[in-house]
Amino acid sequence: MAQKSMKQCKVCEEWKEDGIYLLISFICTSCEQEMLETDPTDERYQYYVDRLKRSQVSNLLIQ
Amino acid sequence: MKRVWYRIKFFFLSIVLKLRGKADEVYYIGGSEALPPPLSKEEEKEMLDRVVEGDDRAKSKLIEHNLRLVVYIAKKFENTGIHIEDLISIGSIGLIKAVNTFNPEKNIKLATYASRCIENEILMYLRRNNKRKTEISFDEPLNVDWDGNELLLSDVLGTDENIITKDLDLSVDKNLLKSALSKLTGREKQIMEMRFGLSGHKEQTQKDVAEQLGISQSYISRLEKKIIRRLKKEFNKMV
Repeated sequence: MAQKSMKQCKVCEEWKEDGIYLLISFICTSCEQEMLETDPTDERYQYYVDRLKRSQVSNLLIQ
Repeated sequence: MKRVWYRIKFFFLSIVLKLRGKADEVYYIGGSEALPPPLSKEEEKEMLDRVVEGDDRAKSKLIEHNLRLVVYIAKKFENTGIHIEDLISIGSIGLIKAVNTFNPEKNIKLATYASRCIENEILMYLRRNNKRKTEISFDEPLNVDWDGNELLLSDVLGTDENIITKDLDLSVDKNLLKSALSKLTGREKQIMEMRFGLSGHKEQTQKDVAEQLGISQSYISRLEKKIIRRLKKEFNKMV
């Protein structure tokens, strides 16, 4: 079984093995799970928006 | 200039995707083919099956191949005052939620479901934002002086000076009046009660009181002045 490599999560900045990619940005499973449970009305929501913005994904998507 | 910038972005993205072993999936940023195209029905089904088995790569692929939806929907909300970068981040979160909560057994396409999720995510954010526009923090700095000290909203906010003592003062005044009234004769007390609506009486004019007591209005007027002077004296003695 191939060993998974460690990648730095664009949200929590920790090095993790499991997670998803949003183009070039890696989001670890725990941050993904937290995002799923966070509503746009929650205080914490803006944090995720800002982190994704910082990850340059938005920038790459803007044409 | 814009085109040069897109080429730089493309170059950067192609290197990263190559490093991730996805050289065959490089798309030109800035053109109509900027983002990964939608998956075919078969590919999408295969990816969805793999997602059920916990395959994160399949999940990433589903997300990336639906990012066009995010850009398309985010652009519809560009005139709302929210920056497009924020809208795309919010839409991306909506898409991640859609891929995670999509039920292939329901008779609905992933793209349709994802579009709804992305739009809902943005709308909810906009509603929250509009609500917040009307809110202001007590710690909101209004101004900064030469020494760099902030003048906060809480520094200039206050209440009417007597807001705390008002009820107490009223209660004391009532007791003083009650005490002063007890020094009057029965008739004097009755006139004051009828004229000023005290002790459960209804406030009446001098004319009404005069009629009820069978005396002239001018006499009531003189009596009233005399009683008020007396009450003032009683108050002065008590305070």
